[in-house]
Amino acid sequence: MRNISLINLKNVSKIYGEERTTIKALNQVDLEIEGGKIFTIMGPSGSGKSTLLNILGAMDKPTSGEVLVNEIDIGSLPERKLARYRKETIGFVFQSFYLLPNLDVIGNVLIPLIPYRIKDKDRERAQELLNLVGLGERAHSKVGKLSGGESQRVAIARSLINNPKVILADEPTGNLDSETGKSIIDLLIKLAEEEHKTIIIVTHDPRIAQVVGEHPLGKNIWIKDGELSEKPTYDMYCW
Amino acid sequence: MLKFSIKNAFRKKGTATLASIGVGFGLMLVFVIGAFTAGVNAQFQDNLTRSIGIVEIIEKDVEGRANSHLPLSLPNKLYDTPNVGNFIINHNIETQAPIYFTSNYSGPSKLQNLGDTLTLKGLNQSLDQNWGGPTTKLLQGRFFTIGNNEAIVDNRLLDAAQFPVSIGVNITISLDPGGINTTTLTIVGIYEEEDIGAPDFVPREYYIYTDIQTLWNYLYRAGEETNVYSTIDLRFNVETTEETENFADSINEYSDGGGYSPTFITAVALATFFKSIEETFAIFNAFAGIIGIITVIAGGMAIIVTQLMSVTARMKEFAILKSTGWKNRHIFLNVVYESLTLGLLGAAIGMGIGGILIIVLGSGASPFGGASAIVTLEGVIEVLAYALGLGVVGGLYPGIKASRVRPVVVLKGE
Repeated sequence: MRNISLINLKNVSKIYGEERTTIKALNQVDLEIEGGKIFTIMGPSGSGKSTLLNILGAMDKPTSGEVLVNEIDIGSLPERKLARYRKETIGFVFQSFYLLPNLDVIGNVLIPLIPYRIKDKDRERAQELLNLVGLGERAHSKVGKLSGGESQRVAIARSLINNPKVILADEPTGNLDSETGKSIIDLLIKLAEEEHKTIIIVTHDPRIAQVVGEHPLGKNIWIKDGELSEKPTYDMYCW
Repeated sequence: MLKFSIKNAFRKKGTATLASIGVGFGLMLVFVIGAFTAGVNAQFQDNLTRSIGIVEIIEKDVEGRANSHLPLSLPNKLYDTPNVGNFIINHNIETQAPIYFTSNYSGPSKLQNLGDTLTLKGLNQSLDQNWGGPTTKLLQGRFFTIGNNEAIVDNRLLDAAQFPVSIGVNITISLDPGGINTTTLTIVGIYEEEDIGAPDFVPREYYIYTDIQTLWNYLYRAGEETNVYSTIDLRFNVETTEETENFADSINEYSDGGGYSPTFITAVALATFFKSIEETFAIFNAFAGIIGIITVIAGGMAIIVTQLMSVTARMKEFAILKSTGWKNRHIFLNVVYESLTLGLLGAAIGMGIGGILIIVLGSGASPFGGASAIVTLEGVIEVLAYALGLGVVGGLYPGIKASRVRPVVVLKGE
């Protein structure tokens, strides 16, 4: 079950701009995302990492090719259905956390459920998630009083509230010191191990790639000029 | 989501509060104008209802009631008017003294405002009792007795007069414009005269009533025409303004045809007079309403600007909400709810300040004192409707802008 392909990218290209000013962010990419695994997407700036992440998360549509989720091409879905896909399948974690300062910690975890009426069982789940990320005691703290690492843990709990199958983390350690960053990566790995989540991490940090690469569930994907590779070439290290 | 939006509306407390105060001042104007309009309208309606069936007769083509001279035989002739007389229930008569009789008591030094006047009138007590006139509304003292130079006075004078007004006090009456030849009337009673309900700065006419015989004696001594009536009031057995107007028209037509010759008269339905005032006031109301709406729109711009600033500063936040599964519709509604919150707070501020203003302006201490204001449910609903309308309109464009956020663009490089 855990190795069944969750998301299949077939011949996906993404081109920005028009005519002479076009930029090929992704070039005929084929990628199979298997359930319960941890992926890192590594590559230099402008290589197409974030574009790939956005297409996987249905935040952007490919110019050509198919993004198949349960045999349905999400690239052809209307915005309304894409929102549902994001809600039910994807959890996003960003470099800058983006917590709302006027809500407490648990309130931030519950943000994705606000339009759908928050029930008691949702609050219980939010509390469980805070326990999972090690912030169970801080549920009613102001987010302004949290450290960077704690804020990112809240963001991870927020990404999990809808119980998505996939967590997309865009430079999740980019704003953290190395020790805190490592604890966040450990937490994401724990989510794959214990919660069977599929984790996709976009990062510049080769240490994350090393940790993930050495993990039995881990897999590193390298990207350069919009093309994927499972092994880095020399110039990929020279960003 | 509503709770979330209400909290969000005050992310920037200062700006949000200022926007609400801006809207609040506009809505306050609507609320206060609405309350005073309702008050005055109620007064007009009351007057209109009480005036149905009443027709006032004065001499034709004369200026002012004091110059109207109707013969003593006219009441009986009015009862004989074809197709009209049968419907007359009763009548009252008054004779009004020329203005110089009481001119020493008029104007701002003697009464409250420029334009306020004091008028001396004579009436027949038994007719007046039957009619339900001043002599049936005695508050203090007693009626005047015939031939004893006694009077009853308007109770509003107790507040308005800058000269002594109480039982036993003498009022000097000038029997010539120079005030050389005078006589005195002793106040023996105070009767209740209903105020017109307009603000204090609107000029008022105050009254002293004596018996008609005494007034005729004074008119004789002053060399004025005596043994005449200034006005004759008729009460008809009708239920509508239109019927009253029809009888007035019939009397006018009969007079113009020489029916009361040699006297020619003008009959006016009092309800017509009140209706014309009401129509004039409706124009004033419309202008006041337009001013209120313009002010509200100006206040509403404050909501739009505040929400636009807020939305522009929070584009990344909306992008994140979208990434967590919020639909465009959710983001749009969130922004609209926020501006509705600002609008409704504005309504609360407007009604709060407006309520205080209504109390202050309606009190005797203010220059608007005496103006009647009524806070009606319709008035409150109107203000809330404005607030909701402003909230929706104010949140539309910012809401659309926020809902169209493209997370890929906004979060690029994050």
